[in-house]
Amino acid sequence: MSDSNLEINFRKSGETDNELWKKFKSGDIKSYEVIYRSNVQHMFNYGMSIVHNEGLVKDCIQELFLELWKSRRNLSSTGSIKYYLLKALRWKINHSKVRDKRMVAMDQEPQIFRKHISFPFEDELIRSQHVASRKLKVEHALDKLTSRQKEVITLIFYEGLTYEEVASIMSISIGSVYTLAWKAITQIKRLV
Amino acid sequence: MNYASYTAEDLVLNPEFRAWVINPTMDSNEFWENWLRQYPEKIQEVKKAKKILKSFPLEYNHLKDEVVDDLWKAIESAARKDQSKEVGNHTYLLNSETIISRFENQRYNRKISFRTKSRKIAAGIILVIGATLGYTILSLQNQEERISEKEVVMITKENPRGQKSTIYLHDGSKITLNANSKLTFPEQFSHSARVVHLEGEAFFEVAEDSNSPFQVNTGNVTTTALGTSFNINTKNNRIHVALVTGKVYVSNNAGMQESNLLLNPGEDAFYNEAINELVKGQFDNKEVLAWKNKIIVFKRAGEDYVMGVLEDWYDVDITTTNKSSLTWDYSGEFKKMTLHDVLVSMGFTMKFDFEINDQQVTITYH
Repeated sequence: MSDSNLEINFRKSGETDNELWKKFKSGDIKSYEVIYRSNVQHMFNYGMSIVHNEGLVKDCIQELFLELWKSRRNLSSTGSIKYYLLKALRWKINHSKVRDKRMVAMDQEPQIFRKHISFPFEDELIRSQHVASRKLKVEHALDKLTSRQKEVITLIFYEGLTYEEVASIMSISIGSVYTLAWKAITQIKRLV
Repeated sequence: MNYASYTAEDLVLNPEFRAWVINPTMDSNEFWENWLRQYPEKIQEVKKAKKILKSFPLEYNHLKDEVVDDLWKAIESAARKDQSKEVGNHTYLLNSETIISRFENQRYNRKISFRTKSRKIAAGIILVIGATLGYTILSLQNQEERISEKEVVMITKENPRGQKSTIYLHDGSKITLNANSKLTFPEQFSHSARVVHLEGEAFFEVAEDSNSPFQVNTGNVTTTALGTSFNINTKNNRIHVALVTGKVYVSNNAGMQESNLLLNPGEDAFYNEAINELVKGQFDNKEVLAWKNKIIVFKRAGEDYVMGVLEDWYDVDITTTNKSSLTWDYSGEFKKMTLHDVLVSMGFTMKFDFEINDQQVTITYH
């Protein structure tokens, strides 16, 4: 969604992920910044779907970027930086959750206070009021989705990843990705 | 794709369908029109799928612009700080010219006996053998029983800064342990596997025993060998395994993913904890084994790094009285040299004078 704007602002036209990554690996701090700026919103959004804790997700993003910098010479090459970073972030967050048991508890709290709500099809929604009220009902239902279902939905619908990429990020089979997403959609379907 | 059995869910999960609903084009209009002509009974499912997509309520979490900027400032300043103390390669090796001769002094630090953990250890051993040698489950269960009945006494050998040691295990394996490193192993190896734990850096020359793999645990990474020699370095929050002779398996046992690498001589495995990734590569024998051969190697090293190495190596504390006007980007090799001679040579390039008082070293830049 915000992908295209950000990338236009920061990235040199025509530069592939591979080239950008290579420059970053050679220590180019400008490329490092481009990578950060064009991915941070995606990472934050995805991170929040794994654990609804803004502070923790921000910490993990910061820590991850720093570790990437420190070990940049030894990183393998990648054709998709976003995919690479989302995968790394997932590992990092799950790792911190294990380290900090409090986070597990927070993760399970119902998400009552939503700070930044926006919808993928916002214009349409504003046009039709009754959609909005239906949306509220559905939203409650979605709070009951398992965290893995939320994760899958975020990656597919908001980050636009393929089933193969989602499967690889979450270390599960493509079939499981599809099943998780399918069950989540079924829950929404009941309410619309 | 079997469209005949398509439900609203399947449509929602179909990327082309989503693209059509969100952003219809001439092509996609044509495609879905044809599709409905072919499957007219699906009209209800299509309507429902569209409704689901339009009421999709998951939030998109955005960071505010100023938060994005602040976060970047924090990352950038930490990265720049780090840059000043880096060197050019991931294996940094050094060695003290002190003290292989002092290996008699290595201390039997701790004796831990833990009956409760023995079962876990046994289970770990079983996993490894199961993976690498394919033992039968039956014989392993017997093995587990036997081990858990016994008390496992663990021995820890730890080298302080400036001291390196050689450890001979009773199975005939020889381990050279670098300064500021720690090795833990059982007093008696079990019959099925030889398991040790390493923090820091060591060079292993493993005695051959095809019935009992030799396993080195380092955090999330396990290195399994039969008879072979290899170097492992876990300093600087990285894990690096470099194989000199024979064959080893290096496995990553963190997280849900498990990955294994089989190394041949000249190949190395590098574990990056930031992304939980194990990568295979090549290494420079001379550089990796420099510490064992009592050579200090710096490759484009920063000031903090160089001073840290010298402190570890010679067991001294180094302080500087003023700032260097030069940017540290230091490369050099020192073989069997005293601290005095190293500092003379380095001070010439980097323009400093120094004073050594016992274990205190003071550096003054010109």
